[in-house]
Amino acid sequence: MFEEEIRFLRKMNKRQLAQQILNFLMIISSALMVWKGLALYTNSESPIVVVLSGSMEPAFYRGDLLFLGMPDEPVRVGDICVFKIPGRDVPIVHRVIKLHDEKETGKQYILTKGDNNQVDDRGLYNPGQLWIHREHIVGKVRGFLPYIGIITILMNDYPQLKYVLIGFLGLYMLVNRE
Amino acid sequence: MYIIFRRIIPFFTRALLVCLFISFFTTIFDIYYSTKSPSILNFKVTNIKVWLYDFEETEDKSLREFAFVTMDIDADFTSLFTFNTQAIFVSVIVEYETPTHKRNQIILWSTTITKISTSRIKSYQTLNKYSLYDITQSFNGVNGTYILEWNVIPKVGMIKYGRADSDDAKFIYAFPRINT
Repeated sequence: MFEEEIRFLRKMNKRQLAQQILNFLMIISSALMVWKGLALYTNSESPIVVVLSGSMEPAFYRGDLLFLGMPDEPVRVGDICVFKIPGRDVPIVHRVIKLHDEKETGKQYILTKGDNNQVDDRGLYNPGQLWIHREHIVGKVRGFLPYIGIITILMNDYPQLKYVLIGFLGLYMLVNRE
Repeated sequence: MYIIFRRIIPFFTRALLVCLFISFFTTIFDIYYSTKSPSILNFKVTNIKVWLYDFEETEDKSLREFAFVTMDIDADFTSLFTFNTQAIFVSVIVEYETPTHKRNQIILWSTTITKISTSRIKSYQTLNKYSLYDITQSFNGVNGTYILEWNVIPKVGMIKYGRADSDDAKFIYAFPRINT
């Protein structure tokens, strides 16, 4: 199956091989550049997120892709926000249901809830934590593209798929002749 | 092997391009439709009662004021429905200012419309769905402004946040003080 490709790799001299590897690295770095550029433009540390749970149904379903932006003005009640609880990796997409701005410090006290959940998010926060603050917010949901993120969910559920896919793509790039 | 890749990659590229165009055009349509707002036929707060309860969320479970709001909501969201509307999230919020907190906003009632046949909301003498309490122990009898807000989630494209801005769609009602 790979005989032809292996023969091709053997036939290449060192310079050709180096060029192929450099090409491969260039694709990876340009993807990284697009991602970081988007993060700078939207002022949000991760400008695109995938919905991982059904807690915001019927608005967002598993596998929907969300585009985030960080507004300059303070968060409002009713905004669908993505936030990160300190000490946990997975960001959560939920709606702001309670909000109190302290007069002296300007600090925002925010409580969130998923539209499809029966109770608010205090059970998801760290024990004893009643509110989240502005610094926990990653971004406000601006745009919406359905189904596209299902690939990410598949890769999350079956980690082997991720390695197979990456390995396959890497191999393809290496043996791909221009 | 090679042939399969040659065929699959242009297919996905084309699919992505189609997705991009769809989102681009729906965004243009959305900008046109976003000037529309729902017709609010009747929106008023008829009664507010305040009771003292143990606040279970904190460790000391201290007494706190809980407000119970009775309201009439009659609004028609049909004009907001387009071919690109997945759901409309309608909520009633209360906004108020206290001596310690400049801006306080709380959602006290909400519903989600997913079909055009149910886009007329008629709800009389409804109680607040979510518990209504201040970040401090008491509301101190401040005036609360009750406003209807909505949030349109499209099938693809930009999410729109809207709120009733006209004066007849707002309702001001003071939180009653507890006599002790």
